[in-house]
Amino acid sequence: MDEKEKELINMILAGETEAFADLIFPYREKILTLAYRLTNNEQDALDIAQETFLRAFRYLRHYNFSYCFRHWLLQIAINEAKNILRRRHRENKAKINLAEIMRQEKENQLAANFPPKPQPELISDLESYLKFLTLRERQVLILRDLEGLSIKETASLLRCSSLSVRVNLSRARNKIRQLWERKKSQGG
Amino acid sequence: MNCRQARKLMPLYAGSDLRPHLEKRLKAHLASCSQCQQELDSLKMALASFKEMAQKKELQWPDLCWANLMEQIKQEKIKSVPFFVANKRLALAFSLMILLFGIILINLPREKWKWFPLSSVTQQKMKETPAKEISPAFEEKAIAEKKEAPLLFKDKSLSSEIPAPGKIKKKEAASFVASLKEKEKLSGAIPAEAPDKITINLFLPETGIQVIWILHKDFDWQGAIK
Repeated sequence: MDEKEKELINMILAGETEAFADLIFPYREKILTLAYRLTNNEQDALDIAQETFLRAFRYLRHYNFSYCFRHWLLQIAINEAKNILRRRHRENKAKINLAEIMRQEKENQLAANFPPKPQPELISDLESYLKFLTLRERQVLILRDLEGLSIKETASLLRCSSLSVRVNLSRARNKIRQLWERKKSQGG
Repeated sequence: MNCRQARKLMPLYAGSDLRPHLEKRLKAHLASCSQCQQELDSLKMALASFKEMAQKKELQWPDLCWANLMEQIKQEKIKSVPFFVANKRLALAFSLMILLFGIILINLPREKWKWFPLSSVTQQKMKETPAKEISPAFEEKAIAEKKEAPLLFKDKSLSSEIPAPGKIKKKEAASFVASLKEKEKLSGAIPAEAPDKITINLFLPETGIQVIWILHKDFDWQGAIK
């Protein structure tokens, strides 16, 4: 662990809470981006990043100094993302009712009469890749390929076996290749 | 290794996550199969473009959100770690010790529970409840030493009739006790004849169930009336 981080944590635990801003500053964009990659939603990403830093502050005394601080933050963020996605899924399920279906039908009719102008870059390229991956595949791919963690570290962070990480990673990379080839053939 | 097997291993090989012995076999296959090599190249390119795309898209914190977060953190308090969370091994040892102690306690015979502090209430109750039957030998001893009146006598006025030690011989004590019992019966403290049967009625108004127990004085454990 970085000596500077250790010093800052000791300072915060001693009562100098202002030092927390210095501690999390190097990770603020990384955690936000990770949250965005996991959820595909900027507002959710902001919520997750905020909650991650708040929890990190609240439970700083629980932090194990033999563990990497960055990995600790990543773990909190991943757990938070999982919770938010679960909550969204539950909310979406509850929303689907008859009124919603009728409203959608009405909208579709209107759209057929007055077609909207084409919006070429409505979703970013990254989103178009990530939305085809399951949550576990996304987690594994992001941690291994984008965050540069090893298979073992990824497994310990996600609390699963190395074998599971390898299987999901293999699937995710295959899906990425298929999507890339499709885009290439479409001339995108 | 055939092409099908090679295709399965390619995604891991592309990110150098393949185990060394499999990597060796895959490399040997790739050297001889141009189609698989092409597939591997396209996989590597796809991953590289994905990584590049991901690196480009990096979100920035809106200043207001960051300021809000810092404000929230100022109001937060760092939670303290509970003792047993901080010392997990100690917690485990302690819980095992309690479990072991419990098992030993359950397996102890009932008589040995007396020393256990929890049973002190039970012991107190046992002391307070009067003995229903006292052996003649105990009665003799109690009279001779002139301690408190034997608990046998419910009518306390009879207790004053107990003579002081030395005034009555030990042999006469039994007959003296018998005469006192007789007097007690006459005074009504003990009913002259106990009923042969006792009936207990239990009625539950909530459910309307009525339970009747009829207990016979000569009923023995084998279920037969003598």
